[in-house]
Amino acid sequence: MTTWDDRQPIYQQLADLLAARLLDGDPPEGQAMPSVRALAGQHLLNPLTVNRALQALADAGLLESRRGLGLFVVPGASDKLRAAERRRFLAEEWPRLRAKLRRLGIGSQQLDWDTDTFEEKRA
Amino acid sequence: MNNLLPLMQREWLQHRFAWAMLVLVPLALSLSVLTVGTIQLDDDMMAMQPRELSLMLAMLSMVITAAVMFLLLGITSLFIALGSPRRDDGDRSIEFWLSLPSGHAESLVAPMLVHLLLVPAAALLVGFVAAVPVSMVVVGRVVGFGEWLTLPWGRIITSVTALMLRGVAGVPLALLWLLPLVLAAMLSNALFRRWGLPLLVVALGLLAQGLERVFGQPLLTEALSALLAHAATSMAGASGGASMQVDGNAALIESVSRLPGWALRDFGAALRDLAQPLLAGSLALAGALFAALLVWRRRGASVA
Amino acid sequence: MTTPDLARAAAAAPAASTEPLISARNLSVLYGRKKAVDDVSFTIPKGRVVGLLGHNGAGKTTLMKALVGLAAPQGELSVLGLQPQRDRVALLQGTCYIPDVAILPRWARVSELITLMSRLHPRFSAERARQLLARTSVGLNDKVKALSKGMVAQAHLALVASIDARLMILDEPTLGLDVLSRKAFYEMLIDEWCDGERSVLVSTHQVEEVESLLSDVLMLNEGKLVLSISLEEVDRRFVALSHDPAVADQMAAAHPLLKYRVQGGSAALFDGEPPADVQALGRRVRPSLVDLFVALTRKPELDRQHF
Repeated sequence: MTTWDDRQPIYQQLADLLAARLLDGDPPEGQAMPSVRALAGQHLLNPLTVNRALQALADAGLLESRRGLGLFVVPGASDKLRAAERRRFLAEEWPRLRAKLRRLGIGSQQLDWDTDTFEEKRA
Repeated sequence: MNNLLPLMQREWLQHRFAWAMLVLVPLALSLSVLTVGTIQLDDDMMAMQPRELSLMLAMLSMVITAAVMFLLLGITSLFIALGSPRRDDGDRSIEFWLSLPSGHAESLVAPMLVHLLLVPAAALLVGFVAAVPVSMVVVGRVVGFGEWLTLPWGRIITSVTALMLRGVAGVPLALLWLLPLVLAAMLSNALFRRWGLPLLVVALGLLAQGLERVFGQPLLTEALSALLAHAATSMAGASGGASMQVDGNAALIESVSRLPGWALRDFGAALRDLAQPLLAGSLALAGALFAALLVWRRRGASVA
Repeated sequence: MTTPDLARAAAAAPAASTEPLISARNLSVLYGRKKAVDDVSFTIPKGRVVGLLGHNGAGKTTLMKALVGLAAPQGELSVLGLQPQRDRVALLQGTCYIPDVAILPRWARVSELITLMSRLHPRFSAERARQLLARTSVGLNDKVKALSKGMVAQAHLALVASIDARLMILDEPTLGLDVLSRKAFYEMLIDEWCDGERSVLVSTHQVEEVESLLSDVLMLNEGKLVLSISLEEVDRRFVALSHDPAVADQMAAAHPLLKYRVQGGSAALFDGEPPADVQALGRRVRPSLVDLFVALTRKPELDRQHF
């Protein structure tokens, strides 16, 4: 059973989880979202909660409702999400990460993006 | 009352194995004992002609087998019926039964119908049928297998069927007579569980004493004995001993042939017996007791 | 329920379109001279999963018994539009009721129970029961007395789940079940019973496990209803701030509805958004049902009139 933390309402946590999946292209743009029933069964949530999560994503412009067919991923949704995630990262996580790197005395030239190695160089 | 039949089916499913054992085990035992053991007859019987003796033995063994079967299953069923209000307490399944859409009345009536009517009647039927091999063993051992085969089976079967029908028809009548006692015991069991029956006996005893002191006559005792006596005669003997007309000199076969006629007359007498203020009064009391049982069950079927 | 619009409408006007399935007003149930259920009022519309929470002896079982006509209520009570005591049989025909999961008759075989229930309950499906039982370790020919307590519970659940009814009233249905069986039961609850037309009233001790399944909650303490709220309203209306004990006084000065304990510290529950400076003192947390449950059933004298 998915465990929910105590920070946000459960529907919000589900919305974040689904948004993360959208970012990975699951489901791809233009495709239908899994049904409320399927999601409810998967995460053992009340369908009303699932509905609220989907509504939040629709309000954010990531999903659209097609009459009689259900909810579909809006084209450009992952771009929108990526942009939003980027903004959040740069505003919240990056400053913290940068401060920590400074504290540890690691400069950007010393980090290798492709492997986990760190070259001890004189700054 | 649309769940009455399924509730009766429950009795069948719950007790069919016990019923089978109660029929087969004593039967098997008696057959074995009769086959191997010694059968002693008194002098009168020893003096009889083989034809007469075999007929007498056949009739006696049939009536006795049926009677024993009736008593065995009847007494067991009586106890099951009396305990039926509380029997599902032990495994707490009473809550399961209460969670189903069955009415309180039909839940109370179903075990009564099965154990106080159907089973005793069936016991008589089975008893008479099971009596055939018993009679074969008895007659075969005392007189001879050939004699058993050449018995006047036509007339025997007619008479025996008449007796059986007389008994079966008498069961509902007997139940009518015993109804207030049965319901009083059921109510007592419902309210006080295993103390119910003893408490009822004590209460009746005290009430009888009290009434006798007040009215100078043993009213309750007389009423109770009358009820029991009528219950007994509604099975057989309502027309008194006279109608039997057993002619000592006539051949036994004649008496046997007269049994169906006797059975019919006797049943008529038992029916006429019903037209009594005693029965009317006791049935009214039975109604009140059943109403009390309904109230008890509606309150959640626990101690009131 | 595939479009979000329905959910918004349902949340806004819960009983506007149809009659509620259960409606209780000033309901009390006496147990001897004690009020086991004391002046309780609530409604349950269709399409809801309502958790009935309370300690042992709080009155949950008595309340449920009153709902199915097995206890005499005072006050107004209507279930499926019927009077429970008077129309008990009709009511039970439209209800799946489990008073306890360990109460199947011990003498019976599972197949015999299926036969009996087919005839006793007009909405029972024997085929469905066999399907559900096939997923458990309970055999059709097993005698109830040979089954472990957990298996009896599974069998009972399978039998009751095969009744096609609009209302489910379940008293501790997962007692005695292991984790896998509980999960299977919750999955079945979501898959089969959450179609927007049926409602479930379930009482349980395992508040954390069941919290995400619920749409509403009723909390009983010593017979009184201390909380009757939808989970959505809990999210929308209330703000919980977890804080250091050091700032407790400042928190208290902002007049929270409830002060309670959470893992690692204290928390304060506010009705609506507290002022920004107060919010800065603590970390925003989700007011979980467990915390609310503990808080409300431990200190009955707290101000609850806003609920």
